[in-house]
Amino acid sequence: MKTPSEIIQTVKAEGRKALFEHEAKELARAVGISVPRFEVVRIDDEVSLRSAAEKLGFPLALKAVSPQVLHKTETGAVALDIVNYDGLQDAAKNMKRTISERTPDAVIRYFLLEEMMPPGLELLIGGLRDDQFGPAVAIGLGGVWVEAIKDTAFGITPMTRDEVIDMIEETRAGLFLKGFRNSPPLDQEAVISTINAVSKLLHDVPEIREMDMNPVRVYAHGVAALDVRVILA
Amino acid sequence: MALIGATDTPSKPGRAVLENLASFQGTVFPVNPKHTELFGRRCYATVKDIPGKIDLAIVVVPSTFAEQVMGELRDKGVRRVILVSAGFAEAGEEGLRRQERIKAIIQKENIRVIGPNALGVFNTENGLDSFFVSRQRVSKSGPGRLSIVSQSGAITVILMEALARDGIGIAKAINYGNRIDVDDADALDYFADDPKTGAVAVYMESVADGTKFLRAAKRFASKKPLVIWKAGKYGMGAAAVISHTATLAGRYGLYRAAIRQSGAVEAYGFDHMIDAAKAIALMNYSCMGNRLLIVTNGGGMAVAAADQAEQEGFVMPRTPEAVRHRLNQAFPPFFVTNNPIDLTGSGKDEDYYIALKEALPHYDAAVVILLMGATTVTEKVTEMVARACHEEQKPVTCCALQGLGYTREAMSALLKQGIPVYPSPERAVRALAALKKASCRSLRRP
Repeated sequence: MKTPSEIIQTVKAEGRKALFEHEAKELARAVGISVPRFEVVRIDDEVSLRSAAEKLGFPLALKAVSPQVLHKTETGAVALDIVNYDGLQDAAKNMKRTISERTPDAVIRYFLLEEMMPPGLELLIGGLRDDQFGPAVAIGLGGVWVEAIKDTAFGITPMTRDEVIDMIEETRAGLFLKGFRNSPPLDQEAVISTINAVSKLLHDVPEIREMDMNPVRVYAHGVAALDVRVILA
Repeated sequence: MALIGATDTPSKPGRAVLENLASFQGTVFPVNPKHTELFGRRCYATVKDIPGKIDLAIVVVPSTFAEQVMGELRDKGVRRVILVSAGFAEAGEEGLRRQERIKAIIQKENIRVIGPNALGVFNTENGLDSFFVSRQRVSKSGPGRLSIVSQSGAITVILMEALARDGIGIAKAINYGNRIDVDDADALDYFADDPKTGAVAVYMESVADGTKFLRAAKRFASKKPLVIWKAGKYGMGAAAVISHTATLAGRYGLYRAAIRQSGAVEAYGFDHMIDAAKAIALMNYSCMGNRLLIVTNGGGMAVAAADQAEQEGFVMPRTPEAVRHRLNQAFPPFFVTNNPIDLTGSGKDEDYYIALKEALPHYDAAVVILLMGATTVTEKVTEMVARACHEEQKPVTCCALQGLGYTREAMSALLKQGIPVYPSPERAVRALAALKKASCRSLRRP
């Protein structure tokens, strides 16, 4: 497994500011943030695609990794709930065609195969480096809710455990985490650990300008960061 | 102290400051080459001509002379300067360059400066007043326990005037302007250790140094109540927006974080700032929890107060059985002895005292509503409320309405007895909520 600084060095060596999704996920995983199991394969490498799929098991998600593709869903660079190998081949073929139609100058570098995660509360968890306040973290309702409800609360790091809890409780996400009616309480401890990991990453790796994980799915036990973006200064 | 730019021209700041300094306990040396005497005092051509040591200089000369004056102050060995003059970084490129040159002088010589483009300091402890605001136009505060830290000169004065109108004094006020040296965090650090300061209200548009400010605000709020009003919340640009989620809060989100993490109370605007400052300046008792009692002589106002209480995170449990029993014995049968306790239009002055004495020990705080139009209440009711509050040592805020001039008198009587009073039930509850937040935070994080 690569260390955070090895990952950053690779990105800088290629003159990129944005990490590829698999790089961002490796970085997240390296500091203890849980992400879905994934495999990276080169496009047009059918043997690797099959063995990656067998390793992960169906159902799977397929994503295209391209420096030119910023919004995966709009560009058609995501296919979900693929249940068998035929479906995977079709999805890969369609994805290449759709991307070349919608973003003609996009070069697909890799395919990312991921295990499908069960549904759960979707949060946004992130971090940034502010000119005035230094490294800061953010949390709020994520997924489709980010657009509709401005629920994000920030925290200036380093933070005590009480401060992290206060920050979470300022958001509506905090209410959902506590559980209500028939929904069980969710794993707030895992959310706190994820926030602390973002904070630690910003402190340990000064090259990182922003980290944006949306959605992070929260379950009764554990969390999973389904999408991770990292931008360097 | 030397006042550089002292004058007798009524429209100039040098005149207002010179007049205001009549209250200063030390010696004032006016400096202005155009005068040899001002209001019976000898006026010096330059600071160099003043015999002996100068502890503090207030500079009110036009910005074009400021550099020369700073050089003279340096040569005289003056280490503390309030630079009131405007025309620096706030006035464009040339002003910014002028400010940078002055910064170089003071950093080299380690001279501490408040300003430029600042009102400076108002201090009721020693009568120092560098605010170029005439006392004939603006009423200024007497001594009190609240201090003010403000980025805006206008808001400093308006806050002071609003408090003065209610007879609420202040300890000190500082407006640091362009903060070439002394900034918001320095002011908080000073006030944290100032025995005359019991609480601080901060108005800010931006911080000089976020990390330093958070550290100072945390230290301050761990000792004394702190209220912060951050203005300029929105449209500050997308600098702090996390990638691809453009709907996220801008920088204001980080200020909110700093306020929350420091343990300060956030004031959301002008009225809220004044209401919260009033409560924190006057009320000596901490609000240790969220159990709220309401006592009223008008049912509708209590309903409005209860609505606001819910929003502010208070709970309103019923009065305990034994309390209800005793109140029912003391009161006519048509009084309501649940919470809210409704003394109805027939409630008398002493009924407020009885209700509060019986019930307040079982709650963390009370909002008392006084409809002064009711013929059964007199001006004595304020004494009844204040006595119960001070005997039980629990925070109480009041809402006084109706009764024309009668209400105004009741309001000022309450304020004199240390009870914050507001013209609406919502504001009385909200002020109490600010007190609760300030109290709980400073207790929770020692």
